[in-house]
Amino acid sequence: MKKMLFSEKKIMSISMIAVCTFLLVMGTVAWFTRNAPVRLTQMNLRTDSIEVLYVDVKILPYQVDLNQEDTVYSEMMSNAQLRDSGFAELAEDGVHYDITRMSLGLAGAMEDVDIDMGQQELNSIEEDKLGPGAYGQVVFYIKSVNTMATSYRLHIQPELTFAETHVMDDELRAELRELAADHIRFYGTREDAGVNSFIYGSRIRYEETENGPTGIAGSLTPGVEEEVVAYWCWPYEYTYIPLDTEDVSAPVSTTSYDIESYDLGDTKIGNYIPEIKFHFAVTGD
Amino acid sequence: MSKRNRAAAPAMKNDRKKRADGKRRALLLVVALLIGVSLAAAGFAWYLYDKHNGADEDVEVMTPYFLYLKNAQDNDSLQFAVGHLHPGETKQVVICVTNRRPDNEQDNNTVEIARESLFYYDLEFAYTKNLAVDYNIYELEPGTRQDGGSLPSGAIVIEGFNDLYWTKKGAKLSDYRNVSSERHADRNVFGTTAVDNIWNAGEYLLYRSDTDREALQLVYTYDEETNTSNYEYDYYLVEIKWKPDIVFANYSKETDMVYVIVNAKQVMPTLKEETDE
Repeated sequence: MKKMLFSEKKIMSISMIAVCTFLLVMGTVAWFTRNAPVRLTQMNLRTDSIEVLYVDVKILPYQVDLNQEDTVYSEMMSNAQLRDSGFAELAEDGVHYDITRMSLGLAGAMEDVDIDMGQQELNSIEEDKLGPGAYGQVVFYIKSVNTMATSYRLHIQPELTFAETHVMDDELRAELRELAADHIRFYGTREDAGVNSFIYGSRIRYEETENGPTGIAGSLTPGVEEEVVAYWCWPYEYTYIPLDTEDVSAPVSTTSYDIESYDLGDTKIGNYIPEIKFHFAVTGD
Repeated sequence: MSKRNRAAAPAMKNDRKKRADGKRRALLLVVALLIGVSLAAAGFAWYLYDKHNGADEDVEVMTPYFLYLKNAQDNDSLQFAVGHLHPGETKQVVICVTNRRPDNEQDNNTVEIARESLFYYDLEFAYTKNLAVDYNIYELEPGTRQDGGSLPSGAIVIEGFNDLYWTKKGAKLSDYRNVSSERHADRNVFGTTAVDNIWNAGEYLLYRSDTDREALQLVYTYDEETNTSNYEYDYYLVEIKWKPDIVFANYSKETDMVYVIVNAKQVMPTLKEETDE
């Protein structure tokens, strides 16, 4: 007696193979999307979202219509909550709001949104520009959604734009990168120590060195929002550089050569680097 | 069917059955393996899933200031010297404030300007008051003397620079602030001694505006088409003359110290107060 072409066993086998193939593909897609940067032009919060980490960042006032629900600007607040928070101010037209907090990913995707560098207005420093003696802070709001992420790591990376009016070889570019990384620093803590004087701690390193890993880490409690501040400064003089107790290569004493070299480094940075792009990234562990 | 075939039929049937069972087992094994791998991959990827949060921010860097005091012909650093002032004599010293590095400082490891810049500066004039003289600062306009050409009225010529002349741009600079009290309180200069106990602590005058009451400033631009750098040169005249109706004999052997200081507006940054100018 001939067997039927589509027996029950064959149907079950084919079905199981189809399910396995589907799972394998989905697992592979999830693997690849792990390292893909999130770039959003619009973001909709979904109750069934599987995101692990929410990150907002403080921005310069940006005008939006919080009455529209098609775009949500914070990963931790609905538009209604944002309206009632201290991060939104009703604009003169009585309709739009100037918000000062946004999802980090959304802020990165929108070209006209500026992260608030918290720079104070200083005499002898041009407005909104970096110079020796300038300082400020960048504020992040981080929340773990569930127990998948119990800690975070904040990474900061400077990317230099070199002056086009001067021919530069690779050696000079490397020197400038080293100078910028040494002169413009980020720290995890800052304490007042008098007028225009601070004590900085917990250096946020741009690259992993013998003194410590890159970035700065902290713990998270699921469902609890953590305010994480990255303090930055460009010490005015060599003698103003914060003491780094973790730096195993720090000099024991200061010489006039150190001071003059530092001033020369300031001049080179200001002369050859018109712009610095800071990359901010937060990962969950 | 023969007796031998009848005996062989059950064995053949068993063989077929065994082969069918083997195939089924193999198929089940493959399916089970696929399921296991899929579940492991999906589970592992889910476990490692981590959304990346990132953004960039561009920040401009302020161009530094390049400020130099040069001598009259604006090549080398200023060697400020007045010399003897005889009775009835008027001394004139031409100084140049510029953002171009002096020729005699090319090898001191400084850098040339690479980016366009504009900055403001102060011109400070300090002097002691042993002599009964008046110190006046004038803004100057440079000129080049043509061969055989005549000099305009009031032209100032410096010995040794016969092809150059300068003329005063209006009256003496009068928009200044007397900052003597602030300087006298500077412990880095006078230590802890009260200024009342210091003989001839000096007078300090701070100029911030030119003849037209415009802020003193220097600009550097770079012409990409011609590949040329354009620096700026501000000339000033320090004129020293005796006060009227004095007895010169009272001032013989007297000496005064005169200082010219230019300061680009890059002092130690401080928080800008709302009342700041």
